Amino acid sequence: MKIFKTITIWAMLSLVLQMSGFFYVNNYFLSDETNIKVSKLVKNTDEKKEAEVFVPEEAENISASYNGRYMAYYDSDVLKIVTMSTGEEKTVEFDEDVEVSYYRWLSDRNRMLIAEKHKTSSGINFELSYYDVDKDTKDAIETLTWAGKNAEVSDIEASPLTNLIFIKVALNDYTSSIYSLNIMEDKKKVSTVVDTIGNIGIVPHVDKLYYEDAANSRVYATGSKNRITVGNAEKTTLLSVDNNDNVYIGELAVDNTVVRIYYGQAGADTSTYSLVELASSYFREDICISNDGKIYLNDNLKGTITDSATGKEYVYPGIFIQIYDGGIMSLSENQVMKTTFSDDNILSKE
Amino acid sequence: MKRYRKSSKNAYGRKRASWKVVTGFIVFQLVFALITAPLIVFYGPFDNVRKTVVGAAMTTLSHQWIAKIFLSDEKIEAILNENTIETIEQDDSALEFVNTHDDSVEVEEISEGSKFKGYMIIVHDPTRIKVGYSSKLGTAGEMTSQIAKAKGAVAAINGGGFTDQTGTSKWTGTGGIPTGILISEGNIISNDLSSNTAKVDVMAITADGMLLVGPHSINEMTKLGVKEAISFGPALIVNGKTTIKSGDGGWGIAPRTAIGQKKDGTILMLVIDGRQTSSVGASLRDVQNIMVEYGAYNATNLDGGSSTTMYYDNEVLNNPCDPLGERSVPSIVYVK
Repeated sequence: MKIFKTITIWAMLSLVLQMSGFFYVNNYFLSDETNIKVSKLVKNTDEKKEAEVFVPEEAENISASYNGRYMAYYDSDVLKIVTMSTGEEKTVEFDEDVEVSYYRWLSDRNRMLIAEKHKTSSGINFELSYYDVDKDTKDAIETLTWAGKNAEVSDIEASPLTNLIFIKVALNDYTSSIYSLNIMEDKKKVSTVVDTIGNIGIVPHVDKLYYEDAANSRVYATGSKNRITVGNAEKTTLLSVDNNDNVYIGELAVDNTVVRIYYGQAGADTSTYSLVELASSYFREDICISNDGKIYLNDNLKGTITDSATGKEYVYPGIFIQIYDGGIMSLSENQVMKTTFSDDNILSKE
Repeated sequence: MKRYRKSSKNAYGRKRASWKVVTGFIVFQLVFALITAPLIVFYGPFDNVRKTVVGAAMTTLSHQWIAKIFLSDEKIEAILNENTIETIEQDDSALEFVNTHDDSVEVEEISEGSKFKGYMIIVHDPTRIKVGYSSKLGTAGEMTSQIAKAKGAVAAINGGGFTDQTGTSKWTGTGGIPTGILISEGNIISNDLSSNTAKVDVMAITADGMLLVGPHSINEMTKLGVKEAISFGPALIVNGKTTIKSGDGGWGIAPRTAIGQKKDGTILMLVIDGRQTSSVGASLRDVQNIMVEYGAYNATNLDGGSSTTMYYDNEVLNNPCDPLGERSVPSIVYVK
């Protein structure tokens, strides 16, 4: 009986494989002995001057890590990460069949979260992983399954203090859903008042996320159905949440520019919030709140960033990219430049 | 005339693989392995595998049935008992060394094949070892690197344990609530012990720089002139003798943090990365073995898992295993 003979061969194959596997695990992996190799730690302490770093014309989504040590960008479908001091470039490898959907630097360490969109036979998956650039380590976190092949991850907010990750998934051009992931890998859909979600901001020390109703210019926080009201503002925008749990909400004028900024502790009564009046109105993208809570105002025409508290105006070359801890990153004729917040870079008034 | 084809052959006379055979093979392999693998694990000759699976299953809350289906309770008990850790009372007067105040600090990289990698910091002057803690102790923890920077530390490892439950939600606490005892600069900063005579496993440093490990009470520590202490355990080497005589310690494989002291007073601070593809982790037995190899006379386990962090020369050396990296903790052990 041919079938009997085939089954016996298959069974023997399985047993041989299993026994070898178990033998290895039993005698090497789980043995009571520990055979270590030791070597002295070598640290390379050559602090070179910042190298000249260029990006191609087609570079998109250029961003700086929290302290400006690294810069990342998309070159068509490939994610590149550059060490600013040396110019050394790393490419984050992805499997075939994967498009990078979104990446986001963490706000206090040189680590980024990456959402990769996989097309599988059963639909679309997003694989969330991290890439720690300082340690050159990439590892997977969790796989998320969503319906709809047009879904894209459009924002990620994470706090290493609460170990919470919030992921905003755009289902189409108008509506989004927010999902949360905690340290125990529990995934849940976050209940929000609206699904036309704009900007989101995680509170570092507590389980709370602020989000915008982009259609009606309102700000909400998870855990409550009431909009966050500040002053007499009819239209508001969520600017940021800083590393000390302060929430920054901008009051919008009719033309959707920000005219004043309210800020205070997340969860506190908004009547206790402080107010910063702006000398002129700014587009939302031109207001940058640093991780330690400084409000910087960008003037594209003049090419300057102003610290709203001190009034110091720093000049940067080219087009503004973003603020990092301690400086400004900008793009000037395909070269990525860093300008520190030092008095040497203040606009001279002559 | 009709020709009857007995088998499908291509021009080269080889059988075309039929999908039915391939699918059948895969299904068979899965079903067969599903049946035979547990039998091999629980009744076969691979002791370490059985011990680890039983140990892992029995320390979970909801998956103990995995072991119970195959083995009787007595058999399970016998297997778990192979993994005992002895409690040895430390001879607190034994260690006499001359402190030369050698300022040097060395760092070594350790690895065991693909199983784990880690680091050992060697500090020659034990009086430089201190306990540091979060500035918001009681409500929020801080990163090891943050506490270390605030103290101007040359090097640090994470230290004591904590509870992660906050009032509103489980699992989003920030490591602010320490468990056991915390002593810094001779002052008791935090204490949830039932009395001053209750003993807990500790890591403590006396004014002379002697490392105390294993069960000690507050009264005993005060008498011995302890200046810095956190509670954690178990002690792995006491008075030169190991506490794990057989088995792997029974705590599974995970990231580990540990501290030890050689007879000449040199302090050894160890971290081993885990729960990641490049470093799966170490058992308590592994940690004990490493400490023995480095010549530790006394050594204890500290808080491992996602807390395992080593800070040296202004940066975090290891790769803490949480997806977001270094996590906040209530206390650290640092080198001034």
